[in-house]
Amino acid sequence: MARQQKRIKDKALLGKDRVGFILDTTYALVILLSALIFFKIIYIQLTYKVDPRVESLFRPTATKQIERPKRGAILASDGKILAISTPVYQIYMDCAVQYDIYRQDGEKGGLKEQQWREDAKELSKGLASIFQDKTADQYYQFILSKREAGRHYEKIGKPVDHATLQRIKALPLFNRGPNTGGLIYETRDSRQYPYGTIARRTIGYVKDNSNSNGNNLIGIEGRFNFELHGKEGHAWLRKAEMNKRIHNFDSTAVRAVDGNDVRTTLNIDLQDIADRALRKNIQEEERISGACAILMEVETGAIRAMVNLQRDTTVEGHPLSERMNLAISQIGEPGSVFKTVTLTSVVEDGFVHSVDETVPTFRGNLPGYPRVRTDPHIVDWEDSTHRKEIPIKRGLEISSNYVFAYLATKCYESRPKDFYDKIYRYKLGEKFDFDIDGLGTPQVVTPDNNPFWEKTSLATAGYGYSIAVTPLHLITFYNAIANDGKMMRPYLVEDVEKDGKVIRKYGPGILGNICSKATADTVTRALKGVPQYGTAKKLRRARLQVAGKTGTAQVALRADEKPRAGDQYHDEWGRKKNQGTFVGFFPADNPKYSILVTVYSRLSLGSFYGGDAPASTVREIVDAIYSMDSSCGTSISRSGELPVMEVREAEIAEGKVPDVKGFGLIDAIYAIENGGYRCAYEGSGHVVSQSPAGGTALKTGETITLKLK
Amino acid sequence: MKEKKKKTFLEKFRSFYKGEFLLNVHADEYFVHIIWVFFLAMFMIWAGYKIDKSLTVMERNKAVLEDLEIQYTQRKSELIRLDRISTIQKNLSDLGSDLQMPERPATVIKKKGK
Repeated sequence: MARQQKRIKDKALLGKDRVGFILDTTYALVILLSALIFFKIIYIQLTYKVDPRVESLFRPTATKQIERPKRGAILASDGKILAISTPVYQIYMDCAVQYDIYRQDGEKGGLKEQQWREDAKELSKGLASIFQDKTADQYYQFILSKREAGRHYEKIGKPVDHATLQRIKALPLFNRGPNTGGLIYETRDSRQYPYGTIARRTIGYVKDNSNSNGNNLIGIEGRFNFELHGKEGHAWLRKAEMNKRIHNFDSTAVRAVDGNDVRTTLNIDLQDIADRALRKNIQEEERISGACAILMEVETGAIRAMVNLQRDTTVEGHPLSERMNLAISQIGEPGSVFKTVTLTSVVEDGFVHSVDETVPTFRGNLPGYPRVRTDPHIVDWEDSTHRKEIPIKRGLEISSNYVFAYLATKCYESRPKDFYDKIYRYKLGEKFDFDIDGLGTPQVVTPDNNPFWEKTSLATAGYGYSIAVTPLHLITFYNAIANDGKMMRPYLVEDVEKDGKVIRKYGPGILGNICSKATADTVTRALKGVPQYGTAKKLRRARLQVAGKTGTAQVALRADEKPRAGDQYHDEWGRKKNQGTFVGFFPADNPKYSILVTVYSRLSLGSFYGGDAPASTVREIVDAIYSMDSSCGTSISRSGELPVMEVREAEIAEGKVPDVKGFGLIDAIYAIENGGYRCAYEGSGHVVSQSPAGGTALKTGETITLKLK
Repeated sequence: MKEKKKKTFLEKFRSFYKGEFLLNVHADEYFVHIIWVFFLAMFMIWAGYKIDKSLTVMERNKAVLEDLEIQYTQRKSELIRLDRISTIQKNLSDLGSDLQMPERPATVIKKKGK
C-alpha cells in the first residue's frame, strides 16, 4: 500500500515536472521565435530585396496617375490673352513595327510587308507636306532604312500642335494605329504667347519650357508662378473590360487644382504701338544697342506698355528682340532728365518761387567749383542775348548743366543732406516693391554713404551725374509731377482671377506725396517749354501737348571696355557710350499718361540725344494714342430729337419707277433692279433725289439716276 | 449492431454536388433567403459590370472633351494672333487695301442730359 502511494506521489511529481518542462520549452521557443522575427524585420528593412517577379504578383492592379494642373493664363487689362498653356506633340515612329512577324509569316507576310511599304510611301508624301523639312522620297528612304535596321523609336519633325496631330493621325499607315502603323507621340506642355515677342520680357518665361531662351522663371510668369502653376493631384486607375483603364473611385484621389489667371495692366494695342514706334526709330541705327519704353497711367501708376529691345549680335542682321528688361534693371546716370528733380526740390523747399526767376550766368563757370566744366549753352546764351542772367525755365529748355549745378550748390551747399533726403523722398535712391523681379537698386553718392563724396558731387548731382537710377524710377518721379505730387507705385498686375472671378486684388498703391500741387504745377509749366522751345522740338507738333525733358548722359565704361586713365567715359580711341532719354507726360494740361523712352548706344564716336530717337518715338506713340482715344476728340451734344425713320418697303409695280427716296444705296439698287431698271448714282449716304421720280411710267431696261447725300 | 457502410469519395462528392449537406443542416427552411442572396450577388456583379462600362464611356468622353478643349485653346490662340494692330495693318496692306489708322479720334455724340 505504502509502495503504491509512493509510486502515485512520484508520478504526480513527475507529471508536475513535465508540465513545467513543456511550459519552459514553449517559453524558450516563443523567445527564440521573437528573436528570429526581430532579426528578420531588421534584415528585411535593411538588406532584403524582393524578387520583382514575386513583387509583381502582390502589387495592386490599380496604378497611380499624376494629374497635372492647367497653368493659368496671363491676360491683358482688357482680357486679351497674353499667355496660355496648350500641349504640343512630338511625333515618333516605330519603323520596325510588325517587321519580324511579317518576315516569319511566309508568303502571306510578304504581301502584308508589301502593303505596309506602299502605305509608307503615301505616309511619306503626307509627312513631307506637313513638316516640309524633307522631300517625300527622303522620308520614304528614311522609314525604310530604319525599318530594315529594326529601329522602333525614330523622331519625326518638330513638335506640332493639336490640329496638325489630327492630320498626322489621319495619314495612311498612321491611321492603322500604333500596333501596325507605328505612330507614337509624346505630349509636352507648352506655353503659347499669341502676340509673339511683344512684351515678352515683361510677360516672362516658364521654367522647363523648351521654347525659352534658357533664362527661366522671369517676368510675370516667374514672379506669379505660385498663382499660375496650380496644384498637382493624383488618381488611381484600375483595369476594366478590354484592358481599358478607368478611375478607381474606391481609392483616395486628390484632384488637380488648375492655376489662377493673372490680369495685367498691359494694353496690347498700346504695347504694339510703342513696340512698333521704338523699332522704327532705332532699327536702322546700328550703333544703338538697345532701348526701352514705358507708358504709365498717371492716375493709377498702371503700366500700359513696357517695351525692351536689344540687338542680338549673334544673329545675322542683328535683329531687335526682347532679351533683357532694361526698363527696370538698367541702372545708369540719368543726365539732364534729373534736372527736373533739382528744380522740384528747390521749388518745394522755397528757394525758387517761379521758374521765371533768373540765375547769374558767369560765362557758364560755376563759382567755387573749378572742376565743373564750363557750360557752352550759357556762353551761347550770353553771346546771343548779352544778358548776364538766365531764367530757370530757359535753363531747363536748353538743358543747361550750369543752371542746375548752380541751383543745387547755391541752395544746398551748406546742407547737402537736405538735397539727398529729397532724392530719397522721391524714391530715386531706393528700390520699391514691384510686380516683377529684377528692379535695380539706385546708387546715390551722398556724404553719408561715400567717403569720396565732395562738394563737386552735389553740383554734378544737380544735372544727373553721381547718381544712378533705372528708367522705371525716373518715370515714377515724372508721373508724380503729372499727378500733382502724389507718387503712385508703378504696377503691372491688376488682380488674380479664377474662372473670371477676382480672387485677389493687387491694383494701385501710393508711394507718398513728394511735393505740393503748387510745386508740381510750377515744374509742369517749365516742362511744357522743353518741347515748345527747347531740346525736344520733335514733339512741338505732337497731336497732344507733351510736357517733359530730354536727357543725354554718357555711360561710365566697364573695365573690360578699357576706359582711358582718369576718364571713365571714353576708351583709348575716344569712343563713348551714350544714353538718350525723353521722359514726360501728356496731355500736358490734364495728364493721362506718363511716358519714357531711353536708347542705349554701343561704343562709338557719335552722340545720341534724348531729343532724337527717343523724342521721335514719343511723338509717334502720342499721335497714335490721340487718334485711338475718343476722349481726345470732339464731342457733340445732342440738342434736338433726331427724326424717327419710317420703315417702308419699295413698291415694285411693273412699268413704274419704284420710289427709293430715303433708302441706302444697296436697298435702292435692289429695288430698282428688281423692277427691271438699271441704276446710276452719285454721292454717298441715303437717296435724296431720284430721276425719274417714283411712280413714273418707264420702260424696263432704262436707267434711273440717284443722288445720295 | 449493424455497421454503417463507409461512403466512397465519389459518393461523397455526388452527395455534396446534390447539396444533400444543405438538407442535413435544414437549409431548405431558408430557401427563399438563399435565392435572395443569390439574386443579390448576381445583381452586384451585373451592377459592377455596368458601372465599369459607364466609367469606360466616361473616360472616353473625358478624353474627347480634353481634346476639344485643346483644339479650342489653339484655335483661340491663332485668332488672337490675328488681332494685333500690326498684323491687321500688314494683312490689309497685303490685300492691297489702303486703309490706315485714323488720324483724328472719333467724335463722340453725348447722350441727352449728360
